[in-house]
Amino acid sequence: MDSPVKTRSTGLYRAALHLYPRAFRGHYGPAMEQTFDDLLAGEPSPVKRMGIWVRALLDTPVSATREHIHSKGVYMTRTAKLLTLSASMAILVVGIGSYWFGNLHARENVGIERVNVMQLADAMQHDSFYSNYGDAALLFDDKISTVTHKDNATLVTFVTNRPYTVSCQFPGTLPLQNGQTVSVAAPGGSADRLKAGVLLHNCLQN
Amino acid sequence: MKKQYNQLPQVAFSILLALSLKERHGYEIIKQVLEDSNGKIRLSPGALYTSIKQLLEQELIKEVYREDDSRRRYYQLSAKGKAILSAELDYYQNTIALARQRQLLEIGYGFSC
Repeated sequence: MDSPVKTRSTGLYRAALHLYPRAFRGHYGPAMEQTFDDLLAGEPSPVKRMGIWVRALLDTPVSATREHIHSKGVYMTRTAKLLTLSASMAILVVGIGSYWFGNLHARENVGIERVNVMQLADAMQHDSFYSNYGDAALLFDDKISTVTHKDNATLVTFVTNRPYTVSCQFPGTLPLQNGQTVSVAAPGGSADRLKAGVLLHNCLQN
Repeated sequence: MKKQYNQLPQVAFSILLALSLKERHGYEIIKQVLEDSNGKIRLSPGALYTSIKQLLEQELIKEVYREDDSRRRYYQLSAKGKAILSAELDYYQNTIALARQRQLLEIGYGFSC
């Protein structure tokens, strides 16, 4: 799912990548764009996402200039650094405006995704979880594999038949049982990556 | 040639350290560097990939193609990278030993071991 804020953010960052030398951009551009998307998708807090934007926009002109100069075999002087930092401040103002505008739109378009745990497990295994579900409310009905209670919370792991597991943490001690099918609502942005699985926090039983 | 210690910039050292356990792609490297540095080194994609390019040119890391994830570029330490990282760690180990010997850690130089 490509939300408006993701599309807008990626588009702006892709445009900023044109500051890098063509050869560098051709080789690393798609990976940088993907990494930037991953960073935004992995950060549920709008304030911290803004921080990612600020850092990226401040850094891009500086590192792009450094790359231009490095490719010619010389190093940046203090003046060159100051000039590029000034340019980055100008870009930052434009970036913050675009981000803010995009974020306002995104709040009107938060998606509800009806999924199953197999899709969630596969998405996390293939590193597309946050880009697909990071800003969606997830709804699914699936069969419980194990239930544990700890610290006034209920941790449920689902049957996935996949290399990756899907677990949900519910607040409170819920009377859930192994083998039971349960309807869950969970914010995709609350997900943590486990070594071989995904853990959704703040789940609610429908 | 005699080994030269502490010749890596901090970001390059952090990236090599992040790759010491397994191959990783950009986002994983950024997360690992953040974790390894207790939140002090927060790389942006620009800083990451310009450093990665230099590490590739110095043959300290290698790019690994993953069929299951062709959009992301994965990197792993080369044999030369492992040797350089090992030399850097030796340098830091010796530095810490020296700091202990001179009791610098106990008198508030900003960190404790």
